[in-house]
Amino acid sequence: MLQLQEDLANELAATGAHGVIIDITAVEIVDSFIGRMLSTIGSISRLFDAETVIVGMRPAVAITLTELGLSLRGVRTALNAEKGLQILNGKSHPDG
Amino acid sequence: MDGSAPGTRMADYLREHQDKVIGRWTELIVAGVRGRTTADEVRRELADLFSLIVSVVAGSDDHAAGELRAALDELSRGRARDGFSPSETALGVFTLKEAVYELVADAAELAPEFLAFSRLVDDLGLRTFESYSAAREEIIADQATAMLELSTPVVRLWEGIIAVPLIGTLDSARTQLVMEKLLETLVATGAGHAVIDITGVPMVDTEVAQHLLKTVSAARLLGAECTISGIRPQVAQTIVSLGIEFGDIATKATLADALALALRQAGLKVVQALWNRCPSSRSGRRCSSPSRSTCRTKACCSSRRTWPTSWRPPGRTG
Amino acid sequence: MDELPIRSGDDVVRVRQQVRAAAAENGLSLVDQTKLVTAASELARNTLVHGGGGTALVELVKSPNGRKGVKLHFTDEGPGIADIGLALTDGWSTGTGLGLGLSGARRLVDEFELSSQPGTGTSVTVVKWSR
Repeated sequence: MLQLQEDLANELAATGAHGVIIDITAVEIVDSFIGRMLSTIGSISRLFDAETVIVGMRPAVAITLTELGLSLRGVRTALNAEKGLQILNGKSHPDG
Repeated sequence: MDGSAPGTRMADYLREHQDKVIGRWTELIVAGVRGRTTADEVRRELADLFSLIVSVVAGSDDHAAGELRAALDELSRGRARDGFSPSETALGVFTLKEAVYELVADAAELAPEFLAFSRLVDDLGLRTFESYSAAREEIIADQATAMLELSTPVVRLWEGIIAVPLIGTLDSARTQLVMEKLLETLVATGAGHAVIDITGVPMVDTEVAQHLLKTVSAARLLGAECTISGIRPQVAQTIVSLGIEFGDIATKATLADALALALRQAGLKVVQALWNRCPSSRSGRRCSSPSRSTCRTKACCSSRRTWPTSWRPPGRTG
Repeated sequence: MDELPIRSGDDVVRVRQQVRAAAAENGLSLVDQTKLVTAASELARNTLVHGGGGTALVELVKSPNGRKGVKLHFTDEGPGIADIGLALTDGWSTGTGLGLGLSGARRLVDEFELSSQPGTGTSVTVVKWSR
């Protein structure tokens, strides 16, 4: 995970990308440790003026996280990469 | 049952007069059967049970007790299936005492053992009652689960908008099921908006509100936005008086309002259609011209229709 | 019953795998499996990070009325928890708190027992039943 953060920071610095999509479709378990890592990644990305979207969360994981009381601060969530891109590119209608 | 002499004497006696006892037992039971099973079937069942009972009385076989219990449970289930009441089944077992007593009445030396035997048969009869009870409990539990499933539908309101009409109380078991079904449907349909309608939820207190908030949080983790609809006036008052905060979750009085909001958020707009359906029975399709006054023949219609703009076909609203 | 050491991050992964297998074997639903494994992950990490390492026990259990379940037991000989009440409050829903994860893990399981003495270590036992 720490390696991921480092690689990501380097990549953001090098490319000036304005968005990060983290696909967790294959992730079966998200505990508080991983949850904090994801929030940290969100914070790092924001320092590079990039927004982070987490996509592909499994229903079982979502229910567990809700029960755990973990709210992923600093990141947005979307159903899949396609919708994640829509959010990043500002194409989806703003809420409310 | 211990394996000492008393039990074995009774057991030997029973074995000796096996056919007579089973015959009499069958007779007594068939009298109350009212045609639901045949005498032969009854005799066969009883013969099996009888040999197991004798083994238990003799105390010779350790496995006999377990086998007897299993056989009784089987009998109990079968009888329940055939429409016998648990009393009928239990009484059927109890009549064995009568059958044996008739035989043993003359054999004075067996009198003390008969009491022990009688107690054993009482236990067996009661056991059939208990397994009937247990089977009913299982059915009730299954039905409760089925009802829970049935009362939690997730429906598609529109492209990308799904609704969960909640009927009945919202406890934690229900909430789990609602979350699971809602999230699965979000993934399956790719919907971006969920409307949770609580018109059918009789009471909303802090616990119910927490369950709703949990459900919304879970849906948001899958990128879906939620609206809670069906807030009745009394419910609204209760919510405020309890100090429940729904935060940034939109709440609406009716499902219709929630749908309108969801459509707006999806960037969709509902507009009044300007044309009338072509009344020709041949076409069966809506005419594609945008206004009534410009409706012309289409190949499907083969009839020319023009209407003055003030004319309305009878019986139809604009 | 399986006894697993918790001395490294890899051990935490192994604990997760064992718990997943046990939960699946005893008929827990997918969501319940996920909850139990997540709780196990929290507790195992606690044992590693705050307890200085320890052991996990994974046990298949059966209730008196026949329901199947999984029992987990985490022990360490670390510094122990001075204020159990504090540790069990929801101080980390923002993700930036102490992160002991105990209160969260408690919500994910059906039975939760914790005993800890400063200086002698901590032991946590949890059970999750199939529905």
